[in-house]
Amino acid sequence: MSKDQNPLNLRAFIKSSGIALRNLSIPPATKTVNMDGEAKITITIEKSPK
Amino acid sequence: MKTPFMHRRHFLQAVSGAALAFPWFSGLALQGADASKAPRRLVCIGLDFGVRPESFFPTGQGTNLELTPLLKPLERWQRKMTVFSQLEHPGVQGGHYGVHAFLSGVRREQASQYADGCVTIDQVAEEHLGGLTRLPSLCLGVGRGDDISWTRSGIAVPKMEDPGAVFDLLFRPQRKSTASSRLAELNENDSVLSLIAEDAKRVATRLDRWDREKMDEFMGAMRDFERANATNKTWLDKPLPVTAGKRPTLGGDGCMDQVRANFDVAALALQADATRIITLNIGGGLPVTNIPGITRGYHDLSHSGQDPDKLRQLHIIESALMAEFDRFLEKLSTMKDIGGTSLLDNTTVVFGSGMGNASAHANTNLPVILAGGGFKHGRHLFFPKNGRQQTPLCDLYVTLLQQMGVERDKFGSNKGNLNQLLV
Repeated sequence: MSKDQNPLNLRAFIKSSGIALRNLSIPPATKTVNMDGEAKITITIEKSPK
Repeated sequence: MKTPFMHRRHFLQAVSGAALAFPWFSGLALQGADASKAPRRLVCIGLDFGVRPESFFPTGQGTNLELTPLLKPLERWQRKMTVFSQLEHPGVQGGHYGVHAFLSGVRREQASQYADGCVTIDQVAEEHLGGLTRLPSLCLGVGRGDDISWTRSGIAVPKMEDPGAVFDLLFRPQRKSTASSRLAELNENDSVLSLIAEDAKRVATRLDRWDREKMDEFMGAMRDFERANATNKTWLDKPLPVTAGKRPTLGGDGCMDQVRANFDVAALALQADATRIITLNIGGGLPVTNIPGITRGYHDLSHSGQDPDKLRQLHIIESALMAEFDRFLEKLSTMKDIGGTSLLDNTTVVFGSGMGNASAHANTNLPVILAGGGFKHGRHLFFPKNGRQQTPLCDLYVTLLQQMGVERDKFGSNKGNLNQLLV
């Protein structure tokens, strides 16, 4: 059971490292923290248009 | 429409195993290297528009080179530099769109055909030496130009275009936060990266080819992030390097003073051993009309054709750039290094362009100068065409990497190396 689930702003996270965002496809991700305080990140795949 | 997500071939390799095997700096293993021996440095300078071939390439070969008008400002370095003719990157075309391949030999669009993608020579050197200095490498830019430095993930390294800010980054404390809060921040980054790597293994099984390539690029960026994070941790409690140099200021002609400021901060960074690897892109957006006598934009002038007035103005710009390069070499030669040597003695300097002839948008016969210690210099090396076969510029890059201590005999489009001629 999840205690807390929030979108993770990977774009901002990567930007904080100084890595260039241009040319980079960044997947949506969600960060979930369960009742025991354990964190998990789930990357979402959006299928490419055919 | 949904954004296509994910690119490239190493992804499955990257996500196999218990955890992502992020490549580490070989340099971290070299920490105990002989401190009495001066380290090797690498500086690569790229011009978006190259130089006018007729004004650049010498007529004589070998030691009988006759300096052309553009090489005249470098006359005093003749014994410490080599000029190359007829080197190029096979298969790289597209005029301005091929310029970003200057230090890789591979256009980004062709990256998937090469084992190391479109990684540039500086980034390969960084992988080997980067952990030894506070900044693994430094990517500078002036004139809002092309991307000159690329990681093996196919991502352009952001250029720093404010020499004053670079000086501050190198020599002035950046944050008011305590070391412990910064460490907590870096540890949190590690934690997030680890969770991303974990879920990437799950995602890997569900991707088609296109998405795999995109995902591979993304994970490459994550590896770059992890390496940067590790370096930041390593240097967290070490004092910033000290310099006697001044923060670069502008205030000259409004054009070449910007180029000079970049060269100045690059020299200070090397002198303080804040980094050993620097790239500098001199872009087409240089405000050349600030130079007295220049009435047209740089791009317009680069398409000079045979227009005498355009040629005259272009020559003023290119001569000024050469004068700044001369000044940079002088600076390195006067900076003392370990063992009574100069910084120039221990620095490999590449000056050139991925554009052979801007007027014709040609990416052939690239202008290249190699300066600095460690090589047999004083010559004009001309590489005649063998049928349609041309000597790849990457042959030179392999030799340069080997001189930096990087053990590899393949890079980009190379067929061999130039060791016999240069070492």
